[in-house]
Amino acid sequence: MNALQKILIVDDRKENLIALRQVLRCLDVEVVEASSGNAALAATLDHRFALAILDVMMPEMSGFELAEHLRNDENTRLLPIIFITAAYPDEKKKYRETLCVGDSAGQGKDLS
Amino acid sequence: MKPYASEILLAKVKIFLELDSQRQELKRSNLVLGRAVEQSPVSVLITDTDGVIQQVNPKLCELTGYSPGELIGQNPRILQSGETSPETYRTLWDTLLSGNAWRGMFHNKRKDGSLFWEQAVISPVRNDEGTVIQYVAVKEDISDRIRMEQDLQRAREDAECAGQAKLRFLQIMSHELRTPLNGILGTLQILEYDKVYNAELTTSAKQALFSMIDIIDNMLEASRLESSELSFAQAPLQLELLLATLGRMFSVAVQNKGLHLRMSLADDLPRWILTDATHLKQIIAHLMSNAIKFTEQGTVEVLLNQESGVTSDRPVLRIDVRDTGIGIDPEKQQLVFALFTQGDDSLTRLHGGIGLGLTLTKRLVELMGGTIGLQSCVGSGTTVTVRLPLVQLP
Repeated sequence: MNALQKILIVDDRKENLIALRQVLRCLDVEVVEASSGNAALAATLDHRFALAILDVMMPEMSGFELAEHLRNDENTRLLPIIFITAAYPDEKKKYRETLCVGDSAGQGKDLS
Repeated sequence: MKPYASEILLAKVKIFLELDSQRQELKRSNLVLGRAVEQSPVSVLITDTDGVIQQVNPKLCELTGYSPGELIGQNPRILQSGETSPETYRTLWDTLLSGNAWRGMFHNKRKDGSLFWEQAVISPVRNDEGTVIQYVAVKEDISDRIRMEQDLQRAREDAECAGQAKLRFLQIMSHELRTPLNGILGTLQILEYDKVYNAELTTSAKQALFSMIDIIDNMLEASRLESSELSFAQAPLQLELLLATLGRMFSVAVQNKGLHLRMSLADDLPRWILTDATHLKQIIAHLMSNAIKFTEQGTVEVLLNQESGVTSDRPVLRIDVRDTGIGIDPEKQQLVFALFTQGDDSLTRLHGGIGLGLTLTKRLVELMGGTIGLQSCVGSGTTVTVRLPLVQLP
């Protein structure tokens, strides 16, 4: 019964994924990586995640688009999302307003 | 990497992980509870405080014939049959509104209109603040139990009724047997005292004995019919001869009461038929003796006719025995065919007999594949009609 909780981390840049993994290292969780929105969606088919941490700026599918997809899927409708981004503070505010989803939270990308 | 930012991220992650594990825990316990309700062998129904149905379990749907969609959003009133007393509903709501659980029975209605009994417990559901937010009803179908109790009750009543009828029959019968016995005893005493042969007394003693034999014959016949020991033998019978025999049998009785006896045979009837002569004679004799018994003046008629069958083309022998006697009250017309009853107990005392005649006749007629019915008008007479299958000689 006591399977590890899983966290999905999505970023198109390998070094960012490694850095995120570092931050989460102290937690007793399983971290699943995805380097694109599509890979992330594929991963949600195989795993039940407790949380998703998404990079906002990604080629092909942005973090917000990915979030939109996750919200529309019955299985991931309630999945909490944390956005990390290098965007400027005022832009970040704008994104928050466009995407009013319950469990999502923004996080400045000060990682790399 | 700025350490504070990653700490904030980590803190948020921890919060979300905690929320997630709580949500999973809740889901698990809801699932257990939900399954228990889903798979429960008793009906479960949850309403809000206005009595609007919020949730039902499959057992309730199976029992009532409604789908969950047809029940949710409705008031449980749609299950009411009108058979449960308003008093029940009043105490139900009084109990619930005072915050207590109510126990009781409903006689409810399914979607198809059929009724069923259920034993119910309805209780308020409170939230953390103690406010009542829902009512939950747990109900069990007890129709089988109720039906069994009712059957038992009916069987008991039937047995009591039959017992009473038998008791009354015994009383009447002992009376009927005693009366001729007293006559015989009296006659013997006189003969003993006079020591002289007296033809009149001997005849009256003989008549009293015959009437006793008659009663005892009837009794035997009744017990034979009751145990279905009767067998039928078909043999050729000449109808004209049958009527002549019957006429002779009753000529004395008819003369004694000053009645007219008419017997007629329709021309289209075959001269010979194939039947159980003994029983056919018995049937007509029973009816004639009855007609004579209950007629003070006028005519007793026996009419034999041929009739085409009601349900088939097979010919039917129709026998009408008509009298101009006292008649039978419409309410008692069906009763006269029941075992051990006469139209009226007071009639028994007046006219004698033990109330077996018509019952025996009906049994005989039915055993011979026929029907019997009567038409009667109080004061102007009775016609008993017997229809039997008519079998001609080949």
